[in-house]
Amino acid sequence: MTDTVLSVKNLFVEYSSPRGKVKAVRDVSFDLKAGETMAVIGESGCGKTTLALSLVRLLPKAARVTGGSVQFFRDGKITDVLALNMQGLRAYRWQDCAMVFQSALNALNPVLKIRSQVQDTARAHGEHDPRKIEDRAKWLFEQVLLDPERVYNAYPHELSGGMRQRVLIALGVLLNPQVVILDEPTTALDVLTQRTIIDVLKRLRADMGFAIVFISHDLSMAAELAHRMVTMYAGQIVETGPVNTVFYEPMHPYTLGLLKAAPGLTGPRDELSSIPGSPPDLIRPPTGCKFEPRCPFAQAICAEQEPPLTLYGADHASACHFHNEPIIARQAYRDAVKAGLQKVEPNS
Amino acid sequence: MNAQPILEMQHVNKVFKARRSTVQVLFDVSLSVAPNKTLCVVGESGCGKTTTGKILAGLAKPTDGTILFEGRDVSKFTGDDFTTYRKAVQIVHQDPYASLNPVHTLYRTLSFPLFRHKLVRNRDEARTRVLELLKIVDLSPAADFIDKFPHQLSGGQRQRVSIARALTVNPRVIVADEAVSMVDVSIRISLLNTLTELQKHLGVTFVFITHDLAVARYFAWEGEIAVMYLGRVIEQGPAPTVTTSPQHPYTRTLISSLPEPDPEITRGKERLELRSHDIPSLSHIPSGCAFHPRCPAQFYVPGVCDRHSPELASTEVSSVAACHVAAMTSKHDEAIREKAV
Repeated sequence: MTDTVLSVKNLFVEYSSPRGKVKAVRDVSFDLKAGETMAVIGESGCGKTTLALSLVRLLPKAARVTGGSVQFFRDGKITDVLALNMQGLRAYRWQDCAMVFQSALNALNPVLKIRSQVQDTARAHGEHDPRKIEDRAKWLFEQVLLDPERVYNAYPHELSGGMRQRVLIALGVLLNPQVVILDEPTTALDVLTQRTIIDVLKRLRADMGFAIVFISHDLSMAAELAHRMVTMYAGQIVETGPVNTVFYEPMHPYTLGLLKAAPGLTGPRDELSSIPGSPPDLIRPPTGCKFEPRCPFAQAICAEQEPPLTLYGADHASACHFHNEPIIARQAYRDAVKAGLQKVEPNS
Repeated sequence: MNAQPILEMQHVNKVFKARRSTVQVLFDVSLSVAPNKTLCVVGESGCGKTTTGKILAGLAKPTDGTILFEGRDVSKFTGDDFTTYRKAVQIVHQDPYASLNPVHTLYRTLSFPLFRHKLVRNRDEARTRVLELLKIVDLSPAADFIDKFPHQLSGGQRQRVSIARALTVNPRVIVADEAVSMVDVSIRISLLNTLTELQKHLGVTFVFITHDLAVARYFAWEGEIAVMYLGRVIEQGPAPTVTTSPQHPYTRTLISSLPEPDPEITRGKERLELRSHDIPSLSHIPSGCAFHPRCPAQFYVPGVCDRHSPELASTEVSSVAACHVAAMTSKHDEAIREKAV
C-alpha cells in the first residue's frame, strides 16, 4: 500500500529477568496509514508501552527484539528501523517518528529553559538558524494554546502539568514528523486540561497531517480521538478495527470486558462489571488462548488452541474462537441501556 | 435530609501559612453526610478536596468552623470521645505504593490497630480477624496473602489492603481520597463494587473524593455529589441530578468536556468553551465569583459575576448551586410559573 507510513510485521520483544524470558510483545503486526490515529488499549503490563518504545528503538537494556520488522515509509523511501545505525536512528527519531512521554514532569530537563531545549533539539537535527527555530516554536506554542513569549523563556517548574504536556506535544512535532507516538498523554491530568490536550491534538493533526499512535488504558480517549482501535492482551493484538465497529460490535471478549468496565455520564447508571482474574504470567504463558481463564465464553477448545488474529469483518480482526459472542452480548447490553434511558427522568 | 448527619462540616475555612504569604484553600465549606450514605467530593487538583477529606477525618484542623460527629463538636472531644471519633472515621489514601509500610507483612499491618485498640486478646484471635478482613476485601485465598509483603502485590491488591486496614477498627465512616485513581479501569470497577458491598453489609458511610465525575456518578448514584472549585462548594445535589442536569456553568463545562466511552456520544456532545484555559492560582483568587474569568461566554454577566460572590442557592432541580445566573434562571422560572397559576 502506498499511503502506509509505518508497518510492523511479526514483532517479538522479550525482557530477560531472573525467572526467565518475559515475552512482552508477541507476534504484533499492523500498518499505520498516513494521517491515521490508532489507539492501543489494554491493562497495565499488556505490552503496549513496550510496543511503543520498540517503534523508536528506546527499549531498556534488558529488552531485546527477537523477531519481526518495523518499516517506515517517507517520500518513497523505506527505512528499516530495526537495522538503523546510530546516525540513522538519530535522524529517524523526532524527524520521522516522535515520541511524547507519559510523565510530563520528568520528560523536560528541569535546569534548562524551554528555549534551550527547543534550540538544542532543532540544532541536533541540522537546523542552525536560531531565529527560524524560535519562530517555529512560538508558532507551535500558539497552536497548543500557550502564551508563546512566556513559555518560551520559562523553566519547566514555572509551568503547570497541563502546560508542560502541551510543551512536550509542541516539541514533539517541532521537526514535522510523520508519526507521533503518545504514551498515556492525558493520564494524571484534570478533566478540563485533558480536554484542552484533546482539542490541541485534533487541531495539530488536521493542520500537519501526521499519524498518531496513542497508548492508553482510557477507552474514552480512544472513543474521542481514534480512527482505529487496537486491543492488546498479554503482549498480543487480540482485536483491531475501525473505532466505531470495535465499540459497538466488539469481536473479542477482552475488549467487551473493558467496555463493560468503563463508566460514562449519559443515561441510566450502567451496571458495570470488572474482568475477573488477573493477566497471565508472561514468562510461562498458558497454552491456548491467553484470555481463556478469565473469559465468560470460554469452551474446551480455547484452552487447547490459540486462536490466530483473523479478519472477520471489513478491516475488523479478532483473535477469538467465538468472535460472535461478544457482538451479541454488546448488542443486548446496548439495548438494555436504551430501554433504561427512556425510564430515566433527568429532573427527578 | 431527614436523618441526622453522621459527619458534618459547618462554615469551614482553612488557611495555610507559608513563610511570608498565606494561602486560603477552603472558603466557608459546609458539607454533611447521612449515615450509610455516600458523599462524593469532585473537583480538579487544587480545589481543596483533599484538605476537605483530611479535615473530615480529623487529620487536619480547620482555621474556622466546626466539625460535627453525630451532632457533637469534634474540637471539644477529650479522652474516650476522641478515641471513639478517631476510630469511627478512617481514611484510605490515594497511593497504595506509599501508604503501606514496605517492611511489614499484611498480618503486621492489619493486626497492629487490632492490638492497639484492644480489639483482640491474642495472636490467634488477631490472625483469625485479619483473615476475615482479607476475605471481606476479596483478597482470597486469604491464607495465601496474610504473610505477604506489599511489594508482592499489584496496585489494586494493595489498595484492597488499605481498605482492609481502614476496616480493622470497625469504622462508621471511610474517607477515600482518590482511592481508585491509580489503578486500571477494570480493577477500578471491582474496587468500587467491593466498596458498595461494604456499604450494604457493614453499613459504612463513604466520603469519596475523586476528580473523575464518571466514577463519582457510578459510585454515588444513590448519594450526593458536591462539586468544588477553588476552595468552595459550587454545586451539590443527588448524583443523578448533578450529572444529568448540572446547573453551575463549571459543572456544565466539566460534563461537556469529559470524553465518554462511546464514540458517537462523545463526538456528538454539545461543547462549552471556557474563556480561559488557565486555572487561577490560589494566592490570587479572582474577585466576585471565582469562576468568572473562565466562565463560558453564554453564562458570564460582566458587572455582576466579577463583583459579587454568589451564595449556594436552590435551583430549578433538586440541587443547590453557587451561581448568579443559575439563581436568576431559577427565579425567572418561578415567576413564570406563578403567573401561569
